[in-house]
Parts: sequence; structure tokens; C-alpha cells
Amino acid sequence: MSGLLVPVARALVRLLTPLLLATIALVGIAAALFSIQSGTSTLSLPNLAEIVGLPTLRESVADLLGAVEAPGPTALLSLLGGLGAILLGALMVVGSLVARAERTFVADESPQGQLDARPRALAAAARGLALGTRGVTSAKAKATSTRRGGRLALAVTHPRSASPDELRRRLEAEVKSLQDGFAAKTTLKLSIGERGGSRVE
Amino acid sequence: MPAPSPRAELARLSLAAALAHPDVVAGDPGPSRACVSATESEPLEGVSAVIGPDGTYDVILRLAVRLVPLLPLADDLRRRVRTAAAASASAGESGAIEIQFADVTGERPR
Repeated sequence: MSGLLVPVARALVRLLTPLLLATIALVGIAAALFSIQSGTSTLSLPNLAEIVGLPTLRESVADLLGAVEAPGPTALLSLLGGLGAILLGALMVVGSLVARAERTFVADESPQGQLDARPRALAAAARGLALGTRGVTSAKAKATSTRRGGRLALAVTHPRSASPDELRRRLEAEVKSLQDGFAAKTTLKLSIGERGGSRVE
Repeated sequence: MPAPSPRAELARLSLAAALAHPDVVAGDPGPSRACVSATESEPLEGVSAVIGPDGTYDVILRLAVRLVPLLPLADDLRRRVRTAAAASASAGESGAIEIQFADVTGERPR
């Protein structure tokens, strides 16, 4: 249950935060726009209140507050609504404050101590190994680690003259230690290209 | 200045032993500076020491390293840390040593 709480809280934060920010921004823009004039002119705050129906809302709220004060289903619903809002707020606080666990590639969990690598480090190592391989003109590497395991995607370019099969064999040999050591499922993509930039993600 | 605690001394020695390795570039503080040890003098970035139930200290080293075989490097680092800790009278006894590779720099020469 607690394992599910934080992801749900984070999802709520991701979903509700933009909505809340957009709402606040729109209200702010409306308030600023309707502050240009005074009195009951078109762009005045009293006119804005009329447009959004604040007087009617005030009457409705007064009726609601009266119903909430008296025992009955409205009071119970209001209580549940209030508790729900508190719970939602608490969940959003949890989702905002609990640090995201860093996903790493774990190589060894012996009593001597764990050995792990950040995805960025593994991608950088794969890219470095690829760039050191004869026939590779540029390399991009991306490593992702999830609960189900790690993936290492390596994309390299090579000159037209190089044999793709031979190059693939060399690259597989180069990254084998990373693949085996850190249990990373590796995919290789080869394409013909000129020497260019290389990137690690 | 007060004498460093066994935990702080072990953290300092561990980081120094790791940084003395030619293939280690720097310590990495980690996200939210989770891998930083407060000491009497200065914060140590890239090392954390936590006392365990048996009284030994589990050490976490978080490092940026050069492009070399990572598994042998981790073994070598553990050896260096244990040697440094054993040689010191004021450092706490090291337990498990976790090595985290935060970044790898450079490329292998062709």
C-alpha cells in the first residue's frame, strides 16, 4: 500500500499542479484586466463580479452554509468533502516533497557492499567504448533503469566502407562487460554517417 | 578544533583513498546532496558513512571515474579503503563499502 502511495501522490501533483497554476493565472489576468476601469464600467471589478455571478453565488453559499450547520445529509456530504480535500492536499504535499528514488544499474549486492552505476555513467561508458572502436565515427548512448531491469541503447554511425556485421561484432564485444556486469539489456543500432557529434543521455 | 569522530575520520580517509586512485576523477554529492558527509572542518562530497547495528560503518562512495573496466575498479577501491581504514587508529571500522559510479568521462584510446 505504501509502495503505491508515493507514485499516486506524484501522479496527482503532475496532474493537478498545471491545472491549479493555469486557474490562478487566468484569475490573475481577469482581475488585472477588470481593474483597468472603476465604478461599474465594463472593465471594472464590480462588473467582473456580475459576469461570473458572484452575487448569486453568495446567496447559494449562504444557503449551503445554513444547510451545513443543520444536521442532515448536506452536512455529512460537506464533512466528507472537507476530509477528501484534506486528504488530497496531504497527498499532494507527499508527492511534492518525497524525493524521487534514483534508479541505478546494480552490478553486485554482496556483503562486501553494493556496486551500482547511474544510467548516465553507464551510457557514458558505453559511448566511450563505442568511440574507441575502430570504424565508429560517432556514438549516442542512452541507458534507462526501471523496476523490471535496465536497458542500454547504443546508436553509432560508421563510414560506408566499414562492414556493419564486423562492426557490430566488435561493438558487442566492447560493451559485453557492461551488459553482463550491470545486467543491462543492450540494443545496437548502426547507420552510415560522417564524423559528427556524440551524445550521452 | 575538536578531534574528528570515528565516522567523520573514516569518511575522510575513504574519500581520500578513492580520490588518490588515478582513475577516479571526483566525488559526486548526488541528488539533494545525499552523499555528503558533514565533518568538523568541511563537508566531504561523494562519501557517506553510516554506523550499522554491529558498530561498523557502512561507507558509500559516489564517484566520477575515467573510462576503465568498472568492476575491477570497484574492487580496487574497496581494497584501498579497507587498507586506509585499517591503518588509522582514529577511524571507525569499515563494514560494507558501496561504490556508486555517478559519471564516466573520457573515451578509450583506439
